[in-house]
Amino acid sequence: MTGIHGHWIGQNAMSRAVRDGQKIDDEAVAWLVAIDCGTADREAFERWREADPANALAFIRASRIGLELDLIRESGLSEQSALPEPSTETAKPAINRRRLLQAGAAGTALLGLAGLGWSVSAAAHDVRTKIGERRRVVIDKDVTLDLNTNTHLRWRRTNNGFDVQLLQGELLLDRGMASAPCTLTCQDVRVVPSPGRVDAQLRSDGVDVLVLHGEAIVHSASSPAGIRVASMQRTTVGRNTASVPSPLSKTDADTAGAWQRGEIEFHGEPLDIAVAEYNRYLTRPMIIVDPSIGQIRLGGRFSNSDPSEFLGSLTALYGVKVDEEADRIRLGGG
Amino acid sequence: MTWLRPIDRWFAEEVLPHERHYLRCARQWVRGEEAADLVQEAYLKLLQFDDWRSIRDPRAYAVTTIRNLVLQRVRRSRVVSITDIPAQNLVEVPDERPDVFDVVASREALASLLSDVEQLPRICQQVIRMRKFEDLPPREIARRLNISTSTVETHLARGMRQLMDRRRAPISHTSARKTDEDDMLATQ
Repeated sequence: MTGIHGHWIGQNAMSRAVRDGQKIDDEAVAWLVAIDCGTADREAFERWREADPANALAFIRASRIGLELDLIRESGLSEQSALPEPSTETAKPAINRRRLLQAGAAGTALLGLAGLGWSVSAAAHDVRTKIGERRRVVIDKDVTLDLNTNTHLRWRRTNNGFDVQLLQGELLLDRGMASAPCTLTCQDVRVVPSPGRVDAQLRSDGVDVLVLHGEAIVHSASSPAGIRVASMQRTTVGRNTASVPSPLSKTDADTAGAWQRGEIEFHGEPLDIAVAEYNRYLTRPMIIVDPSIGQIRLGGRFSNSDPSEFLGSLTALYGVKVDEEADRIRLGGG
Repeated sequence: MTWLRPIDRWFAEEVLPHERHYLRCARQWVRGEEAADLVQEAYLKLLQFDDWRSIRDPRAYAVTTIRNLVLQRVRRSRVVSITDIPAQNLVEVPDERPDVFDVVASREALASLLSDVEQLPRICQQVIRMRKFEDLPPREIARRLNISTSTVETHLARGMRQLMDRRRAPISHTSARKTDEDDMLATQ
């Protein structure tokens, strides 16, 4: 049958189940077609179906597709559709735009992505983390996605690699030397990384791309042809602006990778920025109630799940008054 | 289709159409991939239930089966990534009038299936169109395309298999369609 791939997801021991599922689906379809074409042996089929309820289930699912294809004919829907001419086939968009438009808002969103090469060729996998949670998803032998706090992404296998769509939060994509090509889409920004490590974060002011190893080509509305971001460089792509790649210091790189160790690092950022960054990890956010302390600058490395040490430092060093309430932590002047 | 047993027909008509609802329920208790896994496990249990005719509300029964599987897994600690403390959460699952969704979904499903057909490799598409949309016998398809009937079968199977895979997509994720996920997509 067709080249369907199994995939392996994190610690989740589903690979065997998924692969078995593929094989069973192959068999179920082969039976359905043989029955449809009148070449199936009833007894052999019954033996196959009896052997495993998963076989029976796959056959029901396959039959349902067969039935729906019949329904398409009976409803006259098939008359609105014709086989494309061979010459136009390659020019045909990956998805039927007219139908997607009819599908409403979700369709419209997909349509926007289609222009950026987000293909709908295979099943998408949806992965998310809650606030304060981290998660690693191994999508292929040599391709790893690390999700930072409060992150939502989708990934899918395409004909020649993987499409990853970052919908919210921050992602570290790690590609081994021999891995399949990956494309990372985030709003209207498309990042094509070489083997290496790329960190992407969706922020209110745009998309931040850091190349820790390897390089990446970053395509956006302002630079559709793409700009090259080399190893240890970063770029922030705003709504309509692509900033020039700038060098990434060792400190920047450490800060960017801190979340993987469950840490958060500050190197002289003003308190209001530091608090905003910290709040990404906290279910009980910190709020600065006295604007005068917002410009305090601080440095240090803290646990990103427990701000008590951070709060202790603020009190000890700057006399910041900390009020812990049920749903928030108020920071005020001393 | 004619070779479906009564239990298969019952399953296809009474249980399977509510798949989104099951996934919604399962997803409240475990993470995405495991949710699909749980639903599949519950299906297999139902398909092995000799007394299926006695089930008065198959949809509710399926949900109960899923819930019991979650509890079983928690007890055996097979699920490490369970997202919430299940005891409180397992009691009630808000019902989002799934029947309405499912009816709409099935109408959409035909359109989306047709769109999937349009994306199949040319020869698979041609054979599926002839067999399914024009209702031509396999021998006639073979004659028109100048290929053997067994090759017709191969292309049919290959095409159907791809359609089935595309249909798998909702099982792994789209059932969250009516949740914040699409709102998020839509507002982008």
